[in-house]
Amino acid sequence: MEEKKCELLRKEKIGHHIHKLEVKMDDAVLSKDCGKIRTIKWEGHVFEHPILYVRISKRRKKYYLFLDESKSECSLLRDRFPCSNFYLQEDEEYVPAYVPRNNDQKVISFIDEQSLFDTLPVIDLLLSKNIEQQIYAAGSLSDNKIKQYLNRQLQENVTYMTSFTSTHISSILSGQFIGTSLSITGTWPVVQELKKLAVSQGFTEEEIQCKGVGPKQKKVFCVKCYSINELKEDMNCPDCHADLDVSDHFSRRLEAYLGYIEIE
Amino acid sequence: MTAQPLKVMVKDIKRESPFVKSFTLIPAGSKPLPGFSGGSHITTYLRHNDQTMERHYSLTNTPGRPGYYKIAVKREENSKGGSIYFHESVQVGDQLDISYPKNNFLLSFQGSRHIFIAAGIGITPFMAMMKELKKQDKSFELHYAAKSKEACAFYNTLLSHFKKETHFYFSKENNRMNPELMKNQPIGTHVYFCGPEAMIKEYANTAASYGYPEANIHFELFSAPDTGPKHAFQVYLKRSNMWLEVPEGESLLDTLLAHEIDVPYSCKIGGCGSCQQFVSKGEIDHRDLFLTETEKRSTDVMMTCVSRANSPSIELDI
Repeated sequence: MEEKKCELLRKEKIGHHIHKLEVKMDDAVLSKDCGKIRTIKWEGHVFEHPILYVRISKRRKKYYLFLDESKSECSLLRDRFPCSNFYLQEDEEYVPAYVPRNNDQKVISFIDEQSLFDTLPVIDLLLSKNIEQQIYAAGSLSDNKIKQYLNRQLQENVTYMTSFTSTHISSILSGQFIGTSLSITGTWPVVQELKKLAVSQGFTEEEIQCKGVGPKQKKVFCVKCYSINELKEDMNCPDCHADLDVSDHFSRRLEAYLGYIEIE
Repeated sequence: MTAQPLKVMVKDIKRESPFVKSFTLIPAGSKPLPGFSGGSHITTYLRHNDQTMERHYSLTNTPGRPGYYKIAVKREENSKGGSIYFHESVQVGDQLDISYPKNNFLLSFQGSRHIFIAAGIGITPFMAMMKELKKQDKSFELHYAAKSKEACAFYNTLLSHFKKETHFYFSKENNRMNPELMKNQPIGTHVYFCGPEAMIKEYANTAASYGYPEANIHFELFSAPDTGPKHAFQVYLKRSNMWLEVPEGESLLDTLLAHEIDVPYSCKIGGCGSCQQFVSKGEIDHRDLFLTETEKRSTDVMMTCVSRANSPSIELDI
C-alpha cells in the first residue's frame, strides 16, 4: 500500500489521550469514507500506530484523523507529533464500526468505553451525511473530556447508562421507524444479546451492524431436545446428554450451530 | 420434470364485480387437494383450439387444507385467450387441469406488521394472506386502489371481514393511493405489492428510499416485465453436445422445451428461480427478478425463462 502525503490543518485534544486532527491530502486521497491508518511517517521515521480517519470533504480532500496516544509506545510520537507534513499508509483490513446504508434516515449506536474510539469517526461520517443519530453508551466513561466532546457533537442525542438492561433497550428499539439502522459495538456477549433483542423487535440483518471485541462464544442447537448451549469440545448436550456432532450449519435466527446426534 | 396436473371440477362460479368472476374448484376424484399457504397460486392448463394455455391465478380462500381452491379471474380487454375462456366457456361442473399450488409471494415470518398494497385484480393473493394473518391474530393493513366501488372486486367481503384493516382508494372519486402511506411505519413492517408493473416499480423504489430493507419489500408481477429487445443468440449444450438457435423474441427456456429438452421451470416470468441453469461459457444478460444484484455480478447461473446472452453464444452445462 502506497504512502500518501498530507498536511496538518488543525489539531484538537478531545479526550485525555485522544487527539482529533484535520488534514488535507496532498495528492492521493484515502480509499474509504471511514478507515484506518497503519503506519505514519515523518522526518524519515516510520511508526506503527492505529489512527482512524473519516473523510469530511471529497472535493477539498479533507479528513479527520483520530489518534489515541495511550496506544503509542513511542514517546517521540507522543511528544513531537504531529508536524506540518507527514505520510500515511492505510490498513486495508479494517472494518469500520458502521458503514451507512443507502437511504439510512437514522442510526442508533450502542457503544461502551472500549468501542468508543471506533465510533468517533462514524459520528463525523453520519454528521457529514446529515443522518440523524442517537448514541447509547454503557458503563462509566471515565474520561470527562471525551464526554464533553460527545455532548458538543451530538447535543442531547447521547445517553449514558450504567448498563444495557433488556427492558430499557427493548423499549428504545420498539418505538423506532423503518429507515432506522443499528450499530452495535462492544464485547461479543453484549453485542450478541443486543442483536437478539433487536431481531425480536423486528430489525432485520440488513438493519443491524455488529462489531465485537474479545472472545465470541459459539452456541449449539441440539436437534434432540432443542436446547441451545455453549459450544465445547466433544459436545455433549447439557440438557439431554446426547453426544452432538456440531455441523457448520448456522442459524442466524437462533445464533447457533446445528448439533446432530453423533452416530458411532 | 413437471408433476402430473391435478384434476379439479368447477363447483361454483360467483360474480365479484362487472369484470371479475370467482371460481371454486374441488377435486374431481377422491383424493383431497393439497394444502397451501397465503400468497400461493396455481397454474391452470386450458385446452383451446388444440393449444394449451398456461395461466397463473392466486388462491383467494383461507390457506391451510380447506379441501377446495378459489381463484378470481378478471376479464381482460386485451385477453390473449385465458380470461375470455374463463368468463365465457367455463361452466359449473366442468373439469380443469391445474398445477400443485406454488408460492413465490410468501408472508414473512419475521415481519411484525404487514402492509398490503393492491391495484385492481392485484387484490387476489392478499385475500388469502389476510385470512391467514387474521387466524393468527397478526397486525396488518390493506390499501386497495380500484376505479370505483362498483368495479372493486371483493368490496363487500372486505367490508364484512376486514373493515378495520382496509383502506379503499377509488380513482373515480379522485381518491388516489399514494406511496407515502409507507412512510414512518414501525420497525418490522413488511410491504407487499401486487398490481401493474409501473405501480410495483413506483412503490418498490419509494419503499427503498424510505429505508425499507430489501428483505422487507415483496411483490408479485402478473407477467414478465418488459426488459427490452429480445435478440437472437446461440446456445451450446455441453453435455448433450448440441447447438441450438434461440430466435429473436423467443425465450431460451421455450427453445429448450421446443427441442424436448427436459428442464425445470415454473413461473416463466423470472420470479421463482425454478429454471436456473449453470452457464459454463459466455456472458449472461440477466433480466430476472430472482437473483439479487450482488448475485447477478458474481454468479454463473441464469434464469432461462427471461435472461439472455450478451455474447453471440452461451454454453450451458446440460
